[in-house]
Amino acid sequence: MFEADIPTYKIGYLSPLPVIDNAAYEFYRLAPPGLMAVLISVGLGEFSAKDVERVFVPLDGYLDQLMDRGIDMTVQAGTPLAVLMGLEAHDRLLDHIAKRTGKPATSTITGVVRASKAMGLKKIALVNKWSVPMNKVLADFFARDGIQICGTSTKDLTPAEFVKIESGNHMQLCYELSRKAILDNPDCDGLYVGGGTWLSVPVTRKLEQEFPDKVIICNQTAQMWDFLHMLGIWKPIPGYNRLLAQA
Amino acid sequence: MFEADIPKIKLGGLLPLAIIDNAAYEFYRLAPPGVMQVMVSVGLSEFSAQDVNRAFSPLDSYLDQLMDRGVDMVAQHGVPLPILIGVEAHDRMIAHMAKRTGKPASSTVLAVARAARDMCLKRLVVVNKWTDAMNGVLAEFFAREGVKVIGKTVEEMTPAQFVKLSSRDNLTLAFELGRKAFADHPDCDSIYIGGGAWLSEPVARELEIQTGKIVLCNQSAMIRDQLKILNAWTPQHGHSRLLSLP
Repeated sequence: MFEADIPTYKIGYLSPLPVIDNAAYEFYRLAPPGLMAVLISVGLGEFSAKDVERVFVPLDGYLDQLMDRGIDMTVQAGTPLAVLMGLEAHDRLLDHIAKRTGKPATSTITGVVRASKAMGLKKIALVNKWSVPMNKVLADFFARDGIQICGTSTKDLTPAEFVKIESGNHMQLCYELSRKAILDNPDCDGLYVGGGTWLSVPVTRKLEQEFPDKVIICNQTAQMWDFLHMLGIWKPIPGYNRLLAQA
Repeated sequence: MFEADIPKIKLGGLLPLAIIDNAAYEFYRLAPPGVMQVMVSVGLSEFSAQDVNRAFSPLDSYLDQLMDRGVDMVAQHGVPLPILIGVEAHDRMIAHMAKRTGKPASSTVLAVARAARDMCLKRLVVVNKWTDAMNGVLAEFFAREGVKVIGKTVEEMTPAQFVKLSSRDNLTLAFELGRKAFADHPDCDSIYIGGGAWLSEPVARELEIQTGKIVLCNQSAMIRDQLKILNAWTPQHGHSRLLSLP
């Protein structure tokens, strides 16, 4: 009787910050009907390896709670956590998540790199609010899939600072940093706009209209692309950006 | 430049359980475009006043985090929490939330009781998974809005038990309990399906079609209440009557 109302797939989210706002808002604007996000906050307070270690201490408890809700896969959401722990620890984390849950596991950064590769990107510029060392590790994640970082356009801020930026100003900041990245790196074939506290999907759409030879990757669209491919239910989602529109 | 994409309204919510699933799923199926839910989980793990007090001990910090995100109002989600601490403690908490944030404050139980009053309901049956004691306090919340609880149809469970039910089983349970409530209490003018661990809005819609009576549930009552508080309410067709009636 309620077939159209019952979720067909559930994505378990280890959500980075204590407050959940943009992630769910953009997820449900993009998601096909029947896709549910099952969110648990891990409560990152600052960008440090120590804090990442702290938030994942109760990891098995989080995963068991997600499994109680019948999830079909798990995502470690938030690129900063992956770059603060480094490649090897990130890969071990995903292996552990998959083993503990018996379900496929991915991460934001994994989705972003896979999506960039699928779009044929070779040289990209990074746009975010992260530190130089964080962006260096981020480059390592791209490098192992043959993607070179040709530049960065960043405004280094702490979570405590950037969560307070009003939505409109945050999108404007995202747009301006992205535009600068393209203008400063005319030889790039795309951008990765990182971070979940700005609404980046509309910015990617606008930038791809303005710079039609560039592909703009952001977390939400890359994750959605990655989820739907992993679940074997990918269909193009027109109206957003080139990644989601591709067949 | 991004006017159409910027959220017009941000609803701050203190969500009861550590996991957020149905709340956001149903919210974004029902809420008008441009309305964002800003959520922080308080992590209730059992139905006890002691656990409610523990969950709310960092209340000011939760509220400050919501305010950092620019919310337009704050709401305490989840009926079990207020009915475990009682009417007076609930009212003090809502008053504190409003004072701390300088924004309107509400709660699920207030939204549901106000919706019942708005719909001119007088005789209600409650449908949920809560204890007799909890349902006793719930009746007090309705009573002060002039609504009498004339019966209950309950399958008592703990959070640890009911979160493990599949979405389908949970929805079917809500529907069966709802039907039984109407069958056992033909003189009621409505039922209230409480709880957020089942997807209740589709059940409300279906039971309204079958019985012709109004069915209250959390999500539709919350959306109605919050948008009315913010003077942004317009009826939305295609859902249950709480959402489709002025």
